[in-house]
Amino acid sequence: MRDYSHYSPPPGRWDKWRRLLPIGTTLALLLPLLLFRDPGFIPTELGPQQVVHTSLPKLAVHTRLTDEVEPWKIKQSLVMVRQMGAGTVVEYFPWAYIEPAQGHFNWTHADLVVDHALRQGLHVIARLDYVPDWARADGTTPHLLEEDHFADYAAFVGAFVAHYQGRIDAVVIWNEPNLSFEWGGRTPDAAAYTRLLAAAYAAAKRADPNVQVLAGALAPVLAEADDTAGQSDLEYLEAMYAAGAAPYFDGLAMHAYGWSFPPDDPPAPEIVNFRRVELLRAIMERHGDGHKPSPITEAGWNDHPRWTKSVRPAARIEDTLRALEIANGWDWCPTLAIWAFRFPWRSQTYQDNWALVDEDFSPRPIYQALADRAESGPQVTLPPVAGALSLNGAP
Amino acid sequence: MSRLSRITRLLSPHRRALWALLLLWTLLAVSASPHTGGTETLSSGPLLLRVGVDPSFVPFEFYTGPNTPAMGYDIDLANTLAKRLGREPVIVPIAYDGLVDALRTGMVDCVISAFPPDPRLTQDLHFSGAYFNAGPTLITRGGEPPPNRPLTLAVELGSAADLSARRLKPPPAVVRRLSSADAVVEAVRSGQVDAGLLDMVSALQADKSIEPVGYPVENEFYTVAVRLDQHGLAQEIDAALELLRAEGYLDALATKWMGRAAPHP
Repeated sequence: MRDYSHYSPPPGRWDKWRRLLPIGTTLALLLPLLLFRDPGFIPTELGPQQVVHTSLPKLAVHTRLTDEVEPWKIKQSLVMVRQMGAGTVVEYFPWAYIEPAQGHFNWTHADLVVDHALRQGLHVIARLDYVPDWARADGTTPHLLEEDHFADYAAFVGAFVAHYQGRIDAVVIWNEPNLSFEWGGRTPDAAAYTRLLAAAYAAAKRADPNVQVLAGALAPVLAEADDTAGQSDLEYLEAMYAAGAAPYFDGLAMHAYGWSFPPDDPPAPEIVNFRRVELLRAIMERHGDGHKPSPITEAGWNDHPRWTKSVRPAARIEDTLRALEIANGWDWCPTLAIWAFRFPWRSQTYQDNWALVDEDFSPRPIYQALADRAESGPQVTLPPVAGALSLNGAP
Repeated sequence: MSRLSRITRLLSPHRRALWALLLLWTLLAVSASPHTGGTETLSSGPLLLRVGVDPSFVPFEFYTGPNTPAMGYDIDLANTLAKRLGREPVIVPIAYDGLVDALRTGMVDCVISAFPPDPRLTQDLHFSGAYFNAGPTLITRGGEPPPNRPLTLAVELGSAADLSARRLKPPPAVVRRLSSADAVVEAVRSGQVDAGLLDMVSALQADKSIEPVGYPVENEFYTVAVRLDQHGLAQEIDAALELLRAEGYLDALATKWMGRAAPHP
């Protein structure tokens, strides 16, 4: 009888496949990871260091990259900002996004924005607000910050400044606190805001003595004394000084919207127009703060055909260019940021017509007009290193 | 034996009961889904057609004074559409920013407000065929065909026509960017340029010595928006619009509110 005990049949087709089984299984397990990976993690090259060449060193723009999740779009936005001839971006860094749990920071998205901005040679002014869940009661708005959480916000500001030490120019403490909406639905309270500003200022300076701390821009509004929706920006600023705010800000951010008025229209307390910021400056000077800069972190005209405060597209372009000329004459104004560069999607509202480029990056005529103006005339090359704001705009 | 009978015999009684329950649940779910037409009626009257409009856009929808009803191209269209659908029109004035939300929440049955279709909204909304194309169109003196050479062209600075001019193929020889639509019309009328590029509404409203030449070079459609779950109403509106177009009603509306009908494609 033949002994088959040591017989092994020649390898058949199945045996060949069986040898491939571990590899196949591994690939099958990895496939979902490949298919469903978060596109946000696809790296986008920073590219070579760029510098901004412009004849408009005060030209800045408020980007709106907070809601932009795709790195290449963040980069493309900032490339186009540089190509337009703007040297500074103002960007919103929501506290809730960066510190979703107390003491746990996620810098991924913020780093994308700052890294790409710096690589394009742009300076960064960072607006900081938007309260995380853990720092407010359930069911409340992210604009509500109770006094017992002021220290938490200040700690976040300190952490932000430390993380970006030497890389950002300035932080803006809150946004339009004279509006009830921005103050958590409560009646605006300049004294309470001053306490918040003082806490944030101390934390920021501890983290980086060179960072510029800007008091939050006030909404340019007309309001009666008993109006609970908002308080006049002029009265609010006076109230801040009365509350002792002066030592706690290096500069005051400002918003300068023209609505339907031309930029040369003179300012008056009962009118909201572009030059209303001159009234705020007068208050600062009366309180001995004339030496402090006031970057305009939002400004512009809207040309939506369905909004009562809009202007014709040609007027939007002409008014914006003229506003830059006016700002050139303001030695206290280092930058004028146009609101807004681009939104990730259309909202089908008048808000769409603040943008300088479409969601697909098609430049609107106002972008081209600004780029053309920045390209004409004597060129200034802005150094690609973040530093302190100077009073005359050009670092 | 039918295939269905064979399948049911293969199932245990328990499974059959489960399948029957599932079928019943499906039927209930379908019957409970939103009505395919409007659901609002007057207490004892006909079915309503609640139309959301933002009356701030001449000549499509606007007020002529306080306490006056809204009027315009879209208001006429809404009233006529409602009648064709056997419904009572109710014009609901809503700010432009709130039109989509009003539609989504069922506050209105449709939006007729010079409203452009938006692909991003099509998971919730159905957009009808276009009833008007407001895109930039060439205008010349007397509607003469433009010369067969690179054009000298006038546009309103910053407008949609300005954007279109930047994309024209072949590119114009010269583009004069002027501060208003009126300035564009004047440049064409006085022969300073070969042609102008203006939005269709401005082109139709221009001096009668100026005529639009052909269809817009780029589209900006106005459509009727309906909630996607109101499939029946959407179909009825689409069909009624097609009939109104075929009957020349849309041309008549343009003539009434803009002075003349737009060129057909």
